[in-house]
Amino acid sequence: MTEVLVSKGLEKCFSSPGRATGQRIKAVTDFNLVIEAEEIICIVGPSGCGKSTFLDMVAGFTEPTSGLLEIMGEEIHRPSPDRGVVFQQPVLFPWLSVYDNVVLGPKSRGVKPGDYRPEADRVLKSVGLEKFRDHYPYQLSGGMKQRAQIARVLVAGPKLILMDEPFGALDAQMRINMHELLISVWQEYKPTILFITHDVEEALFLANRVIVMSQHPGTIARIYDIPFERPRTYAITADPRFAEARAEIVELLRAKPEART
Amino acid sequence: MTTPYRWYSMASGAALLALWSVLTLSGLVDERSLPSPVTLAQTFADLLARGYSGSPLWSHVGISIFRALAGFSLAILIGVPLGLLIGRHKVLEAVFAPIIGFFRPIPPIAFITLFVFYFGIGEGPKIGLIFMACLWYVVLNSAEGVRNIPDLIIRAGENIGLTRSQLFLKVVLPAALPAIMTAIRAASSISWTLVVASELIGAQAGLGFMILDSAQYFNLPVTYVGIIIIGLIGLVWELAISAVQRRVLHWQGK
Repeated sequence: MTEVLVSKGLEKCFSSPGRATGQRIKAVTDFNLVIEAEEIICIVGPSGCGKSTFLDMVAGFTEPTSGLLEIMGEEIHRPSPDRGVVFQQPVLFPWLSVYDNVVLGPKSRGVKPGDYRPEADRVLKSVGLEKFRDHYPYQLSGGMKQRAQIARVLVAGPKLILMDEPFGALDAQMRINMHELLISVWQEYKPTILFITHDVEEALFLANRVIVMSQHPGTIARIYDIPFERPRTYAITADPRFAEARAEIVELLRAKPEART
Repeated sequence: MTTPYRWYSMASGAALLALWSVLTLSGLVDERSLPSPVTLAQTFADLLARGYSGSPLWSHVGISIFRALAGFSLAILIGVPLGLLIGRHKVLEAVFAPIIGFFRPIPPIAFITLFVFYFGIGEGPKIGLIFMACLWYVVLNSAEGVRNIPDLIIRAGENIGLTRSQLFLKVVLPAALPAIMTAIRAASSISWTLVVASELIGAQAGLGFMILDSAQYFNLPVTYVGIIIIGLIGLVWELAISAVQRRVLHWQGK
């Protein structure tokens, strides 16, 4: 298997404004993870455990303090469409139509219209927005905005897709629709996905492996292999192994109460 | 404006006109201190036919609009890019903050005499004054617009692989556009206010000159007609800018 992302001894510190100068908080420490091609990795953990900090480093928005972080053998230093991000908030460019949002990236990178147009049509069809290509973001529902974000990421053919609690703001029914959409997108493109969530069921349904993070220190507490084969349907949520894994992870998260600082 | 409310606006305008007509035509108010609508209509026709102070009416209107537009456009051309840069670069912000902070609170009218003293009574000082007064608003609003752009939208731009200059042109500029349009609206009304003020000193033509000159000769109907023309042009200009704003920023606030 190809190693897509390698994180070794990764650490990220922030200087904290509340404390004496020079004192720093370790947001992420000793983070070791290898993500292989076509895997869907879900990271769960309490808010403030550093899961978003880790994603920000992988995205190239922030630099690690120390440790190794490589994408396909290359160190990560800046943002790139190779590591497309689906943000929690529907961050589309409100002055551009859905189609223009999707093609802005390739167009700006100098991809020829003959190449990016069919690709944009394809990804819009994959996320079910082909009829909404000329709509503006304000004309879309919350779920459709997230589909548009996914299309914007897919069009670049990313090495790794980063999803930062992308469905957290959606209602339960819409969330289920989005999970099924993501599964079908995965079947079609077989992308490698790093998915952050605090919803244990969501993680179990989507992931090959669920990474449970602890807080203080922000590091990996445990990694669960999720054995259900693909393509998955919601039927697996009724599987006793699903309930068992869910109970175990919830217990693990609950057993590590937030340390007071 | 939605239809039901439009009637209220029309009614209040009609009521004002009716009150004015009743007061003046009935003789309750002396015609010499407040001319009636009928007198003003005659005066307007007269001005159209014979002009004022040796120049046709349209040339007074034209020169005022020219001065306002020239000062206003210069302020937009220089102020918007400057404001965007200041909003994006902390060093530039630090450099310009004290300068703008000092000059902005000074009412521009205070500079009129100085401008006449240094630059004479030609077009330069009038346009310069309007330019200067508009500039601060445009710079500050554009800079504020850039500072208020959510971090995430910049990140989204970086994430899809935009270079620094692409990010500026394709994300920062459109994202700051609502604030820039607000600045343009404010600057347009400032420019129109100031053109009249600047023409009160050292002008031989223009609407400001016309109302000052006529008032000095107690020719109040001309003064009133001048003021009404100034008001109407201001209103039309404001409506035009709102229409442009709604078109360009159809996505705003939704």
